[in-house]
Amino acid sequence: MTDRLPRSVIEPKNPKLNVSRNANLPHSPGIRVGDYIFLSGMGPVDPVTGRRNLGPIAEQIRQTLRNMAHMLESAGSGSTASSK
Amino acid sequence: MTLFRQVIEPGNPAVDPSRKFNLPLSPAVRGGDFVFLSAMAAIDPATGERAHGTMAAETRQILTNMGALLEAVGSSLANVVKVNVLIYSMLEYENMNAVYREFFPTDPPARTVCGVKLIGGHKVEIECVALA
Repeated sequence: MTDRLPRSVIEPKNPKLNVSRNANLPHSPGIRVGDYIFLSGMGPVDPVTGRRNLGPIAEQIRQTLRNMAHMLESAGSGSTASSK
Repeated sequence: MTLFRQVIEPGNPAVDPSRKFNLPLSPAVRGGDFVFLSAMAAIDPATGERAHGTMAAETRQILTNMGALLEAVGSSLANVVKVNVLIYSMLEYENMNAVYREFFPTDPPARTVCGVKLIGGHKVEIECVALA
């Protein structure tokens, strides 16, 4: 294939949520390619302290999805555009 | 316009577990601009047998085979956009990462790592989505 869609890295606007960079892990927070955005697995990181927000599962899910929304908004998308 | 769907056979049939172990999967399927790979375990490309070893050795074997499979369809590891890594114990997370980062030195793909129970005595399986 010569005419591939462009592939670019997505970073969260809030650097405290940039787990892969802060912990020097070998993945990107997200990859954008054409009309699609691929996000790495995310956990309940506190956007103020950057530490894991350990708590009841409901709280962890809420925090993770908030962080996911932040990632998508950082890429110019939104949680209503998720398909998987 | 309807996107097309095409099953991809690996250049080296020895690394095709769907034939070797008679499994109901395709090693890779192309859909539109993307190619979706099934999870790969460490297979010796010369014999087709399971290549059991350390987390580092199995990770290296899988990513080597994955690179070859992607290149056989005109893609490459540099065109991977998302990876799922399944490992038998999260205690080995860093042992997997140490080898993994050699294969994706710059702008690595998005990735999810899960600790799971794996079949066949393997320590790790890796799947990915790449630009075709």
